[in-house]
Order: sequence, then structure tokens, then C-alpha cells
Amino acid sequence: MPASPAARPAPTPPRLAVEGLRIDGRQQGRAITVVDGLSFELRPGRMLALVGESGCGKSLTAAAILGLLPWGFRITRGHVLLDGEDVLQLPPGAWRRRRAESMGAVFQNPLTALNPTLPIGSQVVEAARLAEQLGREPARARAQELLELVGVPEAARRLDDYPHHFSGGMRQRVAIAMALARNPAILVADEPTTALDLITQAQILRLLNRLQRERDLAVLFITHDLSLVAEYADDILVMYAGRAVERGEARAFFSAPLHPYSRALLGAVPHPAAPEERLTDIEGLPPAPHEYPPGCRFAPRCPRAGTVCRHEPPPPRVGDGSHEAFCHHPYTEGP
Amino acid sequence: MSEAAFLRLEEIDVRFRLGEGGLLRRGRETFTALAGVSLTIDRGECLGLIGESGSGKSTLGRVVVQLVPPSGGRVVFDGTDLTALDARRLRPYRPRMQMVFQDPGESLNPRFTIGDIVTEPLRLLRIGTRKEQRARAARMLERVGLPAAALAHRPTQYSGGQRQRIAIARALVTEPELLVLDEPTSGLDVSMQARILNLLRDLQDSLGLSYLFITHDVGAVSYLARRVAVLYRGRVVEVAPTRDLIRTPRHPYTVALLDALPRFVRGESLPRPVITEATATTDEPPPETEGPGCAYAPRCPHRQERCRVTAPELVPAEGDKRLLACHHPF
Repeated sequence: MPASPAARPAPTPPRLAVEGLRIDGRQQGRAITVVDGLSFELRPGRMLALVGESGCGKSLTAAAILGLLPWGFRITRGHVLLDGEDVLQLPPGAWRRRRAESMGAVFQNPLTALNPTLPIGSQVVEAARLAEQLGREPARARAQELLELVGVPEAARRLDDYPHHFSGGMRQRVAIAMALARNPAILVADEPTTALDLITQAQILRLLNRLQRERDLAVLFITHDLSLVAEYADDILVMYAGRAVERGEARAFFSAPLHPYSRALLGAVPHPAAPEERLTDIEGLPPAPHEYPPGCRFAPRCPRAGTVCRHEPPPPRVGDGSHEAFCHHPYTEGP
Repeated sequence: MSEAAFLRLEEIDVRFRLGEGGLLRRGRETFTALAGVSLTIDRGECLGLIGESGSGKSTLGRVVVQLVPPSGGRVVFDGTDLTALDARRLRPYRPRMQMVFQDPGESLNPRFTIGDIVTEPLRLLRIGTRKEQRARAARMLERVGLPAAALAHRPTQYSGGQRQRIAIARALVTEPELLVLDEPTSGLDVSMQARILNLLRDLQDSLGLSYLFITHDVGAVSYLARRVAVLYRGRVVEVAPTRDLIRTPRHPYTVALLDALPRFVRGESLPRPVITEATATTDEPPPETEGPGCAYAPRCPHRQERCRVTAPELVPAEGDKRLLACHHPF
């Protein structure tokens, strides 16, 4: 369903608005809908976290925005508005150019972005030269500047090193430098720290937060880790089985999550401050796309589910403008 | 450190030879995975072991269950030094300690049935008849929340969380007293992690098991372990009751580790950042070659001249509550 800008104050227009996105594909010969009716907005200087467990469709959503859907998957409904322009209506070449100009992306494994046989300098240089028509020396200087921006120590000396000379965290910094080479307005980060150690993870996310502030970047952060969302993101969208279950400002979400799935997820994270509290057990498993139930998709596992939940899809919104859930029986009080 | 500890690791060293493949360089270089690690676990206790990748924590787990022979030091289990035993005399001790590995997708043979997998330790150790083995396996599956009918299935039919239950059932089938849990929840979804942690807690309560719980997840460690040891580059830098370690970390590396933790997990009352994006420890190799001093010195904000020259020993601090290996702790 279309987002209603009237419902919440919008100080700045979104850089990217996704409206009613649906993604279809095939799995083992079956037609499946992997994402359905998803809407969100990315605003300059803010980070939106797309959260969910494996198979919920969060990575496919990121791939759809980037034009990187795997073979057999396609957008079958909805709009992707880039600075107000519906890019899905553009011819493929024009959309590709618009994406290249306005979006950068980093993924879980930075090696997917880096060529192992080339020094990293020349790879960042290449990205920088695509951005502007730069000569050899200015491009090298620009590459060094980009590496310094993302905190690669002794950037000038390291331009001639190969990807395997870098640690996982440094490779991810290089990948971020390349993603920023064309000065994009939007950065998509799909589980960028999942493979990294705790300290390195914190460094990379603090780096993203700084870049987001300094460059007014709109960041889409895909993660399964709610604790990272609480620390680093401004806005949140929780997905379950291909649909949004709750969305809004992260602060409002964490102070009073409305959806039973959100509550269960939060209750499943151990807190060192209260180790004696038993973790929430969510019985059963998330359904596979070909067996999504009618009505609310979380209903079969939901402690609050009633008859209406099993038959009717949950109403689009409950709660105030800054925070809303898709649920027949949301929680109304704080945790 | 009590003399009567159920498991006592004394000055464990593990060195791996590098360059085994090269004819000329064979065996010349060694990599020190563990250096002088001493730890104890009491009967029925869960000791957490945290550290980042490459810290040697998995190697230490393997040393405990005698999968990796230490280059030096002793593993004293229930009063017996296991490192002094030959394979035949070690055999009676094998069923008493088992290990749960990190990736249940990798550690379970997809060509075996779950029955074969869960009874395998019993077959290897020649415990019971085939019928008794199956009966025990069925009991263990039920104990971890899977139907006995699963015995005939293959692990590929099960989800990641269920496969980890199968791995736990396999570890429990010899009725061990000590379990080494090597990152048993990493790679699982949050809700699955919670179920495995709950299961491990229940099993410990009902069976009185001792755990060595190896993880990089500070939240998970606080849920199961009352006491935690922090490993950095093969050395124990701090051991303390979990609560104290999280509230008042004292080794600069522990402080950095906890500072990296999101506040949501750590809780608001815990100490606030000392390390920023730019100055924090990185996962890069240390800028200097390792000298005789503290392994953490090249990155340590507290380092002094002495830290480069002498390696700090792990010594009691705050009475007997904490062990600390640092010349200039917080």
C-alpha cells in the first residue's frame, strides 16, 4: 500500500521511496511470492534497518532496489521512486545509469566486490574514474582520499597492496570506499558486518554512522541483529515471511514494540544485565514461501492469535504516526 | 583456583608448524596458538571462553577433549593427567567428555541417518549392544526435543536449529560429565539461538553437566556462564565472574570488547565508550613483530615501556575474585 506522507511529519523528502513492492520468483518449479506489499522510505542522513530472520525477504528487497535480483526473480507490483521518479517505468539502460549515479552497495563478504588479482588502489581508482573523467594521477589521489575517508591507515602506501593483504575489516572499508566513489546519495549495506569480529563490527558500523552524518547519506542497513539496530539505526522495519510486521522510528519501536513477533525477537536476545530472565521461545519455524498461511503469516506461532488472525490479513496500521504494526491484536503498553 | 577442580588446564601450549608443504622450509616456522593457558572448571560449572577469531579458543576446546595434543602443559580431568595417558588408557575417559561443534551443517554427515550419527560415539567406544545404542539415541533425541522417529531420517531434512539439537544429542549419548560447546549458536537465527541456549541451560540443570562454552557472543556467554575467561592471541588476559567482567572490565582488551557491544545488549548501566571508530583495536595484524612483552601492547591505549619488555603473568586481583594479566589495567 502507498505510504501516506500526511501521517507523519516529513522534514525532508525521501531519497528513495518503495511503495507496495512485490517480488515473485520460482523455487523448485513452483511460483512463489517472496516479498509482498512492502513500503518504506530512505531519507538523507538517516539509517533504516530492515530486520528479519533468514528467508524473510530482506536481502531480496535490497537486491530489487539495486537491480540485482537473482535469475528468475522479478518485481511484479509496486513502485520504486528515486527522488520522486518511478524508476521501474524507465528503460533498463536508463534505470541502470540512475542506480549507478545514486546508489552504492556493500555486502556481507567484501571479497565479492574486490578482484583478487588487482591491487586495491587500481580498483578504487577504477570506481573513481567511472564517476568523473579523471586522469591517472588525479584518480590515484582520489582513491587515496576515499581510503582515508573510510579510515584505512597509511592509505597512500597501501594503494598497491592486493585484497589478500587486508584483514576482513579493512577489506570491508575498501568496499565501502568503492561504493562511495561516485558520491551516491544512497548506500545499501546488506549484512555488512556479519562475518566480522565484535570490535571490527562496531568500527564498521560507527564508520557508516559517521559517513551518513557527514555526507547526508540515506542508508539501508539489512541485518538480523536487533541489538545493532538499537545502537546504530534511526528507523526500523521488521519483516516476517515476506511482509512488514512493524515499522517506524527505532526509538519508539524499542521503547514499546507493538507486534508479538517483534516482542518475541527482542525477548530472544540475551541481556548480560539480566541473565536470569529466560529467553523467549518461539515455537515452530517460519513458513516457506509456498506455504504462507492466509491471514496473518505469524498467526500459527503467535501467542495472541485469534480466529480473525487466521483468516484476515492484519490491518495496515495501528499506533501513532511514528511507529506502526500490522497486527489484529498488537500490544498497547510498554514491555 | 582450587586444587580439586573437576577440570584443570595447566600451562597449556599449542604450537602448530607452518609450511609443512614446502620441502625446504618444512617445520622451521611455528605458530603459537596457545601460550601458557591455565584454567579450571568445577563440577557442574559452566565456564565461558570468549575471544575473537584466531584467539585460539576452538583449539583450547579441542585440547580439552584430546583432539589436539598440547605441545606443553597438562589436562587434569577428575584428578588424572590425560596428557600422560596412551590411547588405550585414555579410552575410559573419552565417554566422559564430549564436544558440540560450531556448524551443524558441516559436522553432521549428510549420508548418515540421524540414528547412525547419534549412536556413532557409542559404536566407536564399543558401548552397549546395537539395540541398547538405538534405545539410548532415541532417549537423547527426546531429551533435546526431537521425536524418536527422527532416528530414521537424514540431517538434511532438518533446519539449522534442529541439526544443532541432533549434534547435542550425539554429544550427550555417552552420558558425559563435561561438554565442550564450540560456538553452538553461531550461524543460527535469533529465535533458534534462544531455543538452543534454553536447551543447554535446562540440560545443565537436569544433568548437572560441566560446560566449557566457547563463543564470541557476550550476550550468550552471560546467559549460560557464571564465570568467563577472555582469550587474546592464545593467552588468557582476564578471568572473572561474568557479572563483574561485564560491569567492570579491567584488561584493556576486555574493555575494548565490551565497548564494541551495543548498549541494547550491554545494558545502560555499564561503562561508556573509551574507544572510538578510529582508535579502536583493529583486526589487522599488529603493527610490530611480537616481542617479549604483552601481546596486546601494540594496540593498547594504556601501554608503557614495561609492557613491551615483560609479558604480564595471569595473577589474582581483588582477592581471589579475578585473574588479570596486565601491568596497567583499568
